[in-house]
Amino acid sequence: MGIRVILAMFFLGIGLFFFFVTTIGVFRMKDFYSQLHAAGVSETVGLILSSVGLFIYEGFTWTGLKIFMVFLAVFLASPIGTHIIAKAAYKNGDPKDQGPSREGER
Amino acid sequence: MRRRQKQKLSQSLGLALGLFLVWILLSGKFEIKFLLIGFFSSLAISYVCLPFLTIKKTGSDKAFFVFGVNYFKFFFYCIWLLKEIFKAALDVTKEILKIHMDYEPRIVFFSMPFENPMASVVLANSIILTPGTITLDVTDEGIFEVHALSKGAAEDMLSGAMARRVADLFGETCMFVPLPEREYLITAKEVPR
Repeated sequence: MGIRVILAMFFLGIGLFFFFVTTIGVFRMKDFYSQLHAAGVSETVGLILSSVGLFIYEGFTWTGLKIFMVFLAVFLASPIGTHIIAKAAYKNGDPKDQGPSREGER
Repeated sequence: MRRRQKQKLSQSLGLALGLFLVWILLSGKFEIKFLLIGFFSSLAISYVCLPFLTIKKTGSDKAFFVFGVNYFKFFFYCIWLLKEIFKAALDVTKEILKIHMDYEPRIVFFSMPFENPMASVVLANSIILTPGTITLDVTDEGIFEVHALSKGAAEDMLSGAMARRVADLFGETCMFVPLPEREYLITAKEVPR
């Protein structure tokens, strides 16, 4: 096992940790918009670290460059999807939450 | 008129070059036959697609090319954005893993009119890519409605650092105005169903 594989495993592991955080966040957050924030962690940082790990594992080859292209495509497309979902919920008056710390003030 | 045509030609050739590079990347073959097919198809596609890639600002005649940014500046902007994304992601992770959750979601407003519609798109996308902030809506007058997860994220948004960078990227004057008087803490009752 070379140093390259260990580095790749390191990055993939941290990426996996952020995906795990997203899962916890989606379950713990109460309202829809906060859940979207939690989902944003995996689709940016989780994606970046996972693709860096895969890129290191693959090396500077055609496959590595294609992984980079997949990364670019998701990076451009995912915010648009998030925006459309959030805007649809906002315009249709999805109930919003004040957050747990202000629960009593309402 | 002459200058306009020259500009159009350079835009279309640049687009064809980019498409050709993608073709080489995806095929990975360097035989003459494949290169020729790729070259001519990218020329044809760029000729067909160029009208779709020039967008007009609503209410004026000025047209802008979608990829018409300074790529050198854009590269540095991307690096800065990646740094911001990592910082914000750590903040959101902290909020999520707290034992007693005390996040305070809110909607903030700011006004940032751009001449180039692409600048609004880049700013809105950057806001969404940063975890903890989501653009809910952008109006034609350039008013951004941003949902922020915590107080820190909302203050970062209203400080206008990102808007200034985007204005600098597109070579425009920054007319950033935070609208804190429109900020409201969200209650379920305020929303008409």
